[in-house]
Amino acid sequence: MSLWRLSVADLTKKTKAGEVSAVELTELFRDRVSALDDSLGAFLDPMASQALERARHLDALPPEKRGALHGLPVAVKDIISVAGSKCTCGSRALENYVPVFDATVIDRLYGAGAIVFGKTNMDEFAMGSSTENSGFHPTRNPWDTSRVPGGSSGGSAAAVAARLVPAALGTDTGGSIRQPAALCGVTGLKPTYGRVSRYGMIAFASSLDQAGPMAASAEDVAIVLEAIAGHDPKDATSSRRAVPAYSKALDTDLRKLRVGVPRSATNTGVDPDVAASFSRFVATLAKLGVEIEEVELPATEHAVSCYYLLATAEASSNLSRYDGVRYGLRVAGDQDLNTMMRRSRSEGFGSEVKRRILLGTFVLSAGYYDAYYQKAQRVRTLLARDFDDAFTEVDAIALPTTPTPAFSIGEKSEDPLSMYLSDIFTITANLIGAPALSVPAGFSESGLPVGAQLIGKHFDEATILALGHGFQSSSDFHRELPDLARV
Amino acid sequence: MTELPEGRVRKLAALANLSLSDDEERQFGEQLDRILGFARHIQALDTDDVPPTSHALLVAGQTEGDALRSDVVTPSLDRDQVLDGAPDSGDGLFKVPRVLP
Repeated sequence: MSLWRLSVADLTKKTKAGEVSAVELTELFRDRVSALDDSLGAFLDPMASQALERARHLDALPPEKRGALHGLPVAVKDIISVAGSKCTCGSRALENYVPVFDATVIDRLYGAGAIVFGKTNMDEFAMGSSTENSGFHPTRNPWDTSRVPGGSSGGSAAAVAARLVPAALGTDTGGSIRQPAALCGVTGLKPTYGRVSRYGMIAFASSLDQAGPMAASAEDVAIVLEAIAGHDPKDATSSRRAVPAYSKALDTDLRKLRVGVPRSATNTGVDPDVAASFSRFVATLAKLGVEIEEVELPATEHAVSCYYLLATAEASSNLSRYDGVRYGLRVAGDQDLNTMMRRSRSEGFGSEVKRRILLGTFVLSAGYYDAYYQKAQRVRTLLARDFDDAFTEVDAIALPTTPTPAFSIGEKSEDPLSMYLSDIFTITANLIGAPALSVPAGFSESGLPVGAQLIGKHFDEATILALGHGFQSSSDFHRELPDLARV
Repeated sequence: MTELPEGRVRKLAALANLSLSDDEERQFGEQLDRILGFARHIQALDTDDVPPTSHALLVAGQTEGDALRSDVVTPSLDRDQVLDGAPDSGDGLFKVPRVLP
């Protein structure tokens, strides 16, 4: 079997045993990027020379110094800081910004022996569900290049789907790992808030942002999560809880587990192909011995409103730092300080970012704060209570990841509200801080991937990964490849 | 129903330090109206006795003592390196255009 088709688990076995060198793997995937990425646009910067240099260094290490991810190329969403490499966050405002430090997740990848293999495309400042809002170019879905890969981590999802890389990191504020994973037919995990350090990750909505792994399977995602998770003194919200050996806990007895299915899961508005795949997903879990129960989550119908009021409020505050003073774009000229700042912001930001800053500014402004911002915070409490209640009965909750398969490029770009509604199933996990996994669960009639989602209890990534792994042990959707990738 | 009073978008842009073209002002006004028109449905929920949640940290069953680090001084980033990334700097400082118009 060609090396590029191998899982993270199999590839790292080979690199650790010295059967395959890090340089060999890096060159193999570099060649795939050269051959395929012109038609996808998954990468903003392939960082080929840095990756090769790092691979040579890894190959010189004696076997006892090889880490869990020894020699594994991992692509990184361009919102995560890598010292000495551009970090644009998909924005013209940061087109030439070069961080002087590594994000903690990058430190952890290096510590485990991984190779940072390029920076991937994204919606500007992670605001979007299609990667069309990139300030540079859109990314295309490897299953149908006239369609979006989802977003905002669309570059990472497309790269893994076309096997331009065996694994990637994304970030997820309202579904930005899970939604593109679903639309591109790969597996993606948003960890519990506080599980993975946010240090060095450019902030969008600080109470919701979380980085996580994307790869072909739940097992591969578990291996990468194990490497990047854990306490970090540089992130005040990072948890001190010990990191379990996720990859060793995948073969749990599923017959002890209960999974809740909300009645809204296959509501009107859900595409019939998605609903059918989801029903088969639930039926497969039941066949594996999982007990399925219906659960009520009444507040979730308000989750989209709650999310877009809170996330934009946080964003309007976080993005006030881009003023052309300390880094990023400065629009110079014969002008005073305030004019320079206003012009730098107005020329640096794209439409979606401006729209969200304006909405967030409105939500926080005097006279509207109580009715919108504080009201949404109270609804956030109601959502948390719904899930607390459900989790007394079940170990995880199953939902479709997205209401539809990948939509066409341009289809929703003029209609922000309909774009926001495509996040309906993913945003709740962010609002309550719970972990959530998306796994490939089927295909639409036109051959587009469909995802199913499992939301777990806080810090119980192990259970949803075991459920995902169990499902993948009796299905082949995660092994299917788009035609474009078979070169 | 209109959620945003006339002229509000221009005021918001000024608060957010953005300048908008007339087209942007009109388009953002219409879009924000639609989004707020959708979001206003949460007003119907009874939340009188529900406290606000600002952060998922405490929802996740942690106490602040677990989650927050102690306040200890550690070295920050190197000043010269940081200033190298700035659009303009000199004498160890960020340089900006004149403050008074």
